[in-house]
Amino acid sequence: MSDITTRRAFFSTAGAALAAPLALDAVEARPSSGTETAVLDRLARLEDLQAVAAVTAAFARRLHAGEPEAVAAVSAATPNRAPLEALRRLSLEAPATVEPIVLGADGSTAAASIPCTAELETPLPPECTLVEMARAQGGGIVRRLAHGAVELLYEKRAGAWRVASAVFVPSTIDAA
Amino acid sequence: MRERRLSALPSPEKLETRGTAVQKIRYPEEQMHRIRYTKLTERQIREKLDGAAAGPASASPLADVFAGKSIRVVTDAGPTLSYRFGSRNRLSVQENGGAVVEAGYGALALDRVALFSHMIPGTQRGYNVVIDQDTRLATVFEIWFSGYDDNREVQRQIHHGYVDEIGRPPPATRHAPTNRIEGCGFHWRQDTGIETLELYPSVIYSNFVELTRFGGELSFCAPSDYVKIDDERYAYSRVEAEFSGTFTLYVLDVNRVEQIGVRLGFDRLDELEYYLFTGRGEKLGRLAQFEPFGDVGDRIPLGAGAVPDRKGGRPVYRPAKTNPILTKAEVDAAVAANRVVFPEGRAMAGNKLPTSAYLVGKALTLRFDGGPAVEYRFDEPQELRWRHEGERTWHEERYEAWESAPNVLMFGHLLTGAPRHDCYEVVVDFDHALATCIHGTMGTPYVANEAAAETWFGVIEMEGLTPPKYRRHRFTDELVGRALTWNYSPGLTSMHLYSTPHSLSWIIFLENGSGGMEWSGPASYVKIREDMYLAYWLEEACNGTLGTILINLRTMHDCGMSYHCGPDGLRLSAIGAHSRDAGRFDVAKHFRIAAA
Repeated sequence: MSDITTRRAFFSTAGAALAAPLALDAVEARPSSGTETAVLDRLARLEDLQAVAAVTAAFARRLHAGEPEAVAAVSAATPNRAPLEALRRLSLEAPATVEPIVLGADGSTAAASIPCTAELETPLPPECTLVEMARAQGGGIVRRLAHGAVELLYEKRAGAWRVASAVFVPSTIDAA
Repeated sequence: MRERRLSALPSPEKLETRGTAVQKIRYPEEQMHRIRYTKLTERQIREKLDGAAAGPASASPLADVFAGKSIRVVTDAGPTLSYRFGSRNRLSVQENGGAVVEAGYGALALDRVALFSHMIPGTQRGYNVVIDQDTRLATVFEIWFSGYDDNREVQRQIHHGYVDEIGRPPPATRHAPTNRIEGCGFHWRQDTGIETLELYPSVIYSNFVELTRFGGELSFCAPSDYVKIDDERYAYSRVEAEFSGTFTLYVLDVNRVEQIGVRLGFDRLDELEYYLFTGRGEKLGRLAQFEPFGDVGDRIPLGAGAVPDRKGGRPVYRPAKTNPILTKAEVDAAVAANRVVFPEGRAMAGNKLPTSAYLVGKALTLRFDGGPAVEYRFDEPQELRWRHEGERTWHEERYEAWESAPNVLMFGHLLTGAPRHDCYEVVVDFDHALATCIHGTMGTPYVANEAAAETWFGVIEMEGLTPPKYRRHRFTDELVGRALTWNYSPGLTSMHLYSTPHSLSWIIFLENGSGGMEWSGPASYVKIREDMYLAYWLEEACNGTLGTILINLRTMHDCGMSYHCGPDGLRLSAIGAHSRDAGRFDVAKHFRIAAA
């Protein structure tokens, strides 16, 4: 639960930071004090984009491989960020497509998303003996396929980019 | 020729009975789930195991297949055991090259497969070894006491391996877990005189009916292992967890329907049972399997966290640890605080029949033989009034009704204010003017929040109906031995095994469709009409629920109710599921009262 709270808090913060997301195309429109500064600024942002792309590609590869730690790092939430069922498995097409990376105005945050399909697990409520027994053998859950995207937020610390949060947000969920 | 040390064999004298000398069936004073087995201390067990150091007793002659031989059993992730068999009942063993220990043992053979058993004297440990003498493959069942909260519950770890022979490479294959006998069932008659019905509807549990020891009224369930030796021969073991903790292991040949085995544990009088046995059987039939084709069960797909991370860890259903027991005062307080009648959204009712308005507007009396006459006024689809004949005041209750077949309905309701928090769960057949009521009450002499039930047969009295004078619905054994799957809602499917005329087992499926956890409770079956049965079961020494369903084998759909009391209050809720026919065991004949 604390994990969810932390992520929600980050979203709140990141949401503000990304309120005016700055894509690469918009860099030139940014006011600068001079040509040299503008070029350096543009170069820094290109380097940031490249670094975020590399982090994204690495993370996508881990998800594609079904690496448990990577999958475990992804939570699931509704589009309004209400926590959703446990996420069991993610299926990414190979090679994973990544939506355009958006850099934050503060230069230390970024966002991207990876379209994918996820298997969500909903625990059955503990209402009867059958569920008790199913849980005792590691079951007692309903699995459903959901189609959507993993929304990634990044942060830059000590000059290095890392994934700060990864949330699968479904656009459609199949019937169980 | 009977073997030595017969004291460790089961004897009828040890079986508690209230019967007289002429009684043919020895019913126990308490059934297995009601016995308060002594919580033996480690010291008590150690002392009692002194009698096991000499090896197991046997009513049949011991096999001499190992006498005079030395063998080395190598297991893949377990011990290496070096044996020297001095005779047919003495051996020495070295575990992993350690000290040589002398012990008594016993062996039996079933064609080319041999089984021997011994304890390590001075310890609470022992080994039971199954060897295929042709393939050299071996499976070792390492067992020990005092490895769980309840010291008397035998723990086991299975090691697969082979008999090492100098100059020969290890065999490439191993014995392995299997689902190849899942669905089988046997009647066994042992050389001890003990008869059992043993049913395998799961890959991790089994169902056994003690015809001799417990009179065969009820079936019980135990965590079990199934190991494939080859297509004809299997090793089976169970531990009577939550009961005596006794360990049973046998090798069975499904072609010959013969067994050789060992039983180790403490009976209800805490006396040591350690003996080998042989048995002959009868195959009782075979239930359907629900795994994908090609899945032979060499991997059991248990979910995360299902297997405790310790030696011998296995999933064991322990209802006594998961269901709170209340006092009568606590029950009354819980009921006063919360009564829930037919809540929406229950997983057990995901596939329930539509609520029927058939009864709305009807005024009728259900007159039960030896029971009350109950007058009803059905005012709305979920509102009724009732009163016992002679009462002046009507009682209002919320009810629900389902029409299982034309003119055959089931409905139920609580009796608000009744001292035992009663409920009526009724099947009414308007074609024949017949009614049967399962009268549920909360509280048994054992547990205050455990439901009890009685069955009333009777008729419908109503304008336009003339009820029969003599005909009634009746108890039946037509369902006995049958198995039906029940899918209640996504993710919640079980299988009922109507194991005896007086008990029902329920099996929860694993992810791949294998049978998994299993438990059992007292039950009763009433025939309503062709292909339609009213069944109830009591989850005694479990969560105390009374489940009642009307089974329609033509629609393969049920309707019914669950009646339960816990700390969160009293609840009467709907049940509804889709069914599949899973087959039948031919067991009913074993429960019929025969002529002398």
